[in-house]
Amino acid sequence: MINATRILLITGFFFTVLAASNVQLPFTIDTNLKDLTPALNDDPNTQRIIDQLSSNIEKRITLIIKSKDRNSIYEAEQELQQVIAKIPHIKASSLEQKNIISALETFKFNLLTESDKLLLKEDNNKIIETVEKKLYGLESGMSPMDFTEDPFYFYSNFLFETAEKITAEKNNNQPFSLIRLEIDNNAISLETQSKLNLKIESTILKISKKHNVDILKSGVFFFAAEAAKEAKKDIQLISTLSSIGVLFLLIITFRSVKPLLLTLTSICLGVIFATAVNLSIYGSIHILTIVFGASLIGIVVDYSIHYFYHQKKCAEDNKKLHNAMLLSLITSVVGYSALSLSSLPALEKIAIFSCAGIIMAWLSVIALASLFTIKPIHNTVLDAIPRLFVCRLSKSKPNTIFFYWLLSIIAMAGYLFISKHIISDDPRLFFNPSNNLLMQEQQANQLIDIFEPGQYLIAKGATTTDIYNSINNLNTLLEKNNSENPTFSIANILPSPQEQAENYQLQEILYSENGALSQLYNRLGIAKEYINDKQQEYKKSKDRILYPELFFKQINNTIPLWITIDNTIYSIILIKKGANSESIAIAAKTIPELTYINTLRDTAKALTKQRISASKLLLIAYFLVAILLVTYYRKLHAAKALIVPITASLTTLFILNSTGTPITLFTVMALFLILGLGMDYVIFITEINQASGPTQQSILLSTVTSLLSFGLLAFSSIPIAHSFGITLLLGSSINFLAAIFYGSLQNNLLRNKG
Amino acid sequence: MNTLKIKKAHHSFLILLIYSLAALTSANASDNDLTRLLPKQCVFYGNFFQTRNIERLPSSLNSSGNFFFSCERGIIWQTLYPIKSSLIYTTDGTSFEGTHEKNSQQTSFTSLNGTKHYYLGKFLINLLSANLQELHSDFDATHTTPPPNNTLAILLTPKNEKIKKSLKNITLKRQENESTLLITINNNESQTNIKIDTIENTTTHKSTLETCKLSLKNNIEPCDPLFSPHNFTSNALN
Repeated sequence: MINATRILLITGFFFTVLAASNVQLPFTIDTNLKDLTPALNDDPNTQRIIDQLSSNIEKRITLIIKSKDRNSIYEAEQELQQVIAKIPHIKASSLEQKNIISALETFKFNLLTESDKLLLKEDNNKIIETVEKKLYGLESGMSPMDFTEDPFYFYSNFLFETAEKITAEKNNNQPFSLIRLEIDNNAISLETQSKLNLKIESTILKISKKHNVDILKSGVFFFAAEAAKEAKKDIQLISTLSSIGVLFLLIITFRSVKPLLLTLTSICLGVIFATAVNLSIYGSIHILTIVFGASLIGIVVDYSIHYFYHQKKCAEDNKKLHNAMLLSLITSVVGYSALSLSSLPALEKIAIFSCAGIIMAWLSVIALASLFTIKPIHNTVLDAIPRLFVCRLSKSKPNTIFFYWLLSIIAMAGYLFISKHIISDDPRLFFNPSNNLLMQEQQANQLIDIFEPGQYLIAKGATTTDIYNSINNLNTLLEKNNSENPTFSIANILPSPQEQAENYQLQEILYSENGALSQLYNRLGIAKEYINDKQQEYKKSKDRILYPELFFKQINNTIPLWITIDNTIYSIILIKKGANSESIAIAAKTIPELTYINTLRDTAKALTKQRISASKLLLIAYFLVAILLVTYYRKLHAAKALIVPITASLTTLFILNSTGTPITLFTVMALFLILGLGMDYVIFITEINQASGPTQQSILLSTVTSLLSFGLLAFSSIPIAHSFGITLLLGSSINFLAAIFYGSLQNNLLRNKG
Repeated sequence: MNTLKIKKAHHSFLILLIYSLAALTSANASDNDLTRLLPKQCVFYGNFFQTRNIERLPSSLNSSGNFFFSCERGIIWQTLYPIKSSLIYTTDGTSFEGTHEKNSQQTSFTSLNGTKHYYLGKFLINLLSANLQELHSDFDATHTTPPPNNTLAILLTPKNEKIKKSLKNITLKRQENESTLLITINNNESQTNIKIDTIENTTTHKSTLETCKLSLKNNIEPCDPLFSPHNFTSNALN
């Protein structure tokens, strides 16, 4: 076995070296919040659209400069723009107005506002009168197009109205200025994100102080950066405390450097290998993987502890130990693998990282341990603690006690089955944003229209007309209920091809011989040649249709409102923040081509689905472990060892329920690990010696190291890590007590038989 | 949201076109000069003459009319020649357009939505009420060089580069001891001259509404939306 593990260890080592040679250092630490949400749609193309939109929105930042003094706003804006221009990984997100005008200009005869369409139904005199009103009026100099280019001001009106519709600015008396920014893809890495966030924060602070203005920030980036900052803080705390605690324990227990060396070697090899595997598969490491990965120390260190407590001089005598360690590894891998059953990409990454880490650490302990033999350990303090928990009860009638134990478990299970649980599948479990960020987002929403980043509609169709029809149907339904349409779609920017053709046709009467144009130009004394020029320009524009594909091609740095995949068009319909999304969802339901996406609701639904399926899988895992035990020991009652993790799991749930702590998907995920850890303890008790001092000591040490690593997650500010940690803190403690009790019962049973 | 690029595009576009006339001025010309140049009273009225030169047009477009201003209420800008129309901007940001109905000889008022009129109204109110803080915010104020004799002239140049693209400058000019104020707006393609003369100050014993009706002798109807805008907003119109 040792030779085989050495070969595997060397192979793993070479793989790590090979993987490391292909990795660009420093490697990317991913902070993407998207990894924390499951796939929301069964249609892969729709999911692609959702992902594309999310990653696009994640890159956008809005800064709002607010003050009573407009001059201060202006000066702050100027300075902010200058400073930002020098910051790497960020740029002003601007669409030059000339690009929009030039993109639309060739098709200007197709573009009309609703009021101009009504005007075109009037006679020529009325139309000319309206133009004259503009020419002689106060607002005459305020058109984006010159009179000679746009004699009826229809194109100018269209541009104005479109800008009005899509501008974010709300009409209120509070002066402010907006700066929109775009982050490049490289800023997703932890290091860059953190530096960029710090730079933006310090710039905002400096400029707001200097010019006495308020600068609000809005954007997913800030939430991701805050989440990453919290996670980083937790990693530092957990890994530092866990490492100090574990090292301290090992030193006072073994009083030798050798076990420390083997433990550190196994931890290092485990972590490096796990990192190499994750980088090879995903190209980066997610921040949450590192948070959970830090707690791996607690598991990895167990192998060294068990080894040094139970090692024998002769290799043949270590067979029992190796078997116990192998069984322990299998149960831990089963426990961690269960995390990958969740369809959350982040949990899948954690599962792969953890499995790879513990396998490599296990291999290194088995392969290298013979190089680190030490004297047998005698620690009176550690020996005394487990004995405190073995009550006298266990010494008499072990079978009766087993029966009552089983009965109490059934009673607890029954109680839990009928009692009402506090269950939470709220996606906010992933991250709890600070009040300051939420307040800034709310204040920003009072000044500008912010679209819901997690709520929108996707229109699907084979042709452009299909999409426009779906949007029009939706708008008709929404306008029945609301005075203002709370959505924003392609139809707000560009009329449909059919509408464009109708708009062109409507203006024919203006450009005909003696039409309104001739009459207007004659009244103003403009030369005839100019009339002909305009009439020719109109004629040449016939059949020119601006399709959305071309429009978005010309304005290529917008959010992806129009996407074509496999000859199917998908168009995003955005929803304004604060809109009644329920009524929009109800309206969308009546139109089969529309899919309402509510990431918060859909994530909650997906989490509920996963929590239920994970609970079922947990029962299957218990069943599989029972089969494993029965097959391995060839005894049916070997399965009773499961009483330890079952007791730990049910008692944990009972405590959580009684204290009002919500049960989440991550509670269920932690129960898989409780099964793995509990089985670890029982295996060593069963395999090595039921109630011997060293076995109890090693289990106690193992429990303490688990509490130091997993238990510390309970103090994490990240809600999922907290939920995971609190379950494991309780579960590991109860596992220990139950395992010691189980060991002494088993010991008495054997003694009675003997 | 996050918020979106497309909005940014149109926002900058809107800034370029509209915000340019939002609020005004600053700098080398002292506040005293601006105060001397701009009307000092809270309520006044007068006539205006506007000349606009447009490329390809053989002659300039001339128009004239009268106006009424109250720093508390807002402004009525009534064009009487060659067309009849009126614009009413209130201090709370509401705007109306009055259209003279030929058949009924009455004026109908339409509420004007949108930031264009919102900012145009604010600009005029800030200018005529000599709100120096607002004027200094977006424009550099300098004396025209060389200043004509006995004429006080101030050139307002937009500070913002984006605004400069659509609005070159605004000149405010006034002869010493004369009530005529000349406002020249230079855009890229056209020049608009607005001559405000015969500025009359109100007499204290008259109410502001009475003064409004007195000032707009020919058509007093626009006084109503200025003094009671709520009666003319939304469905109450037309």
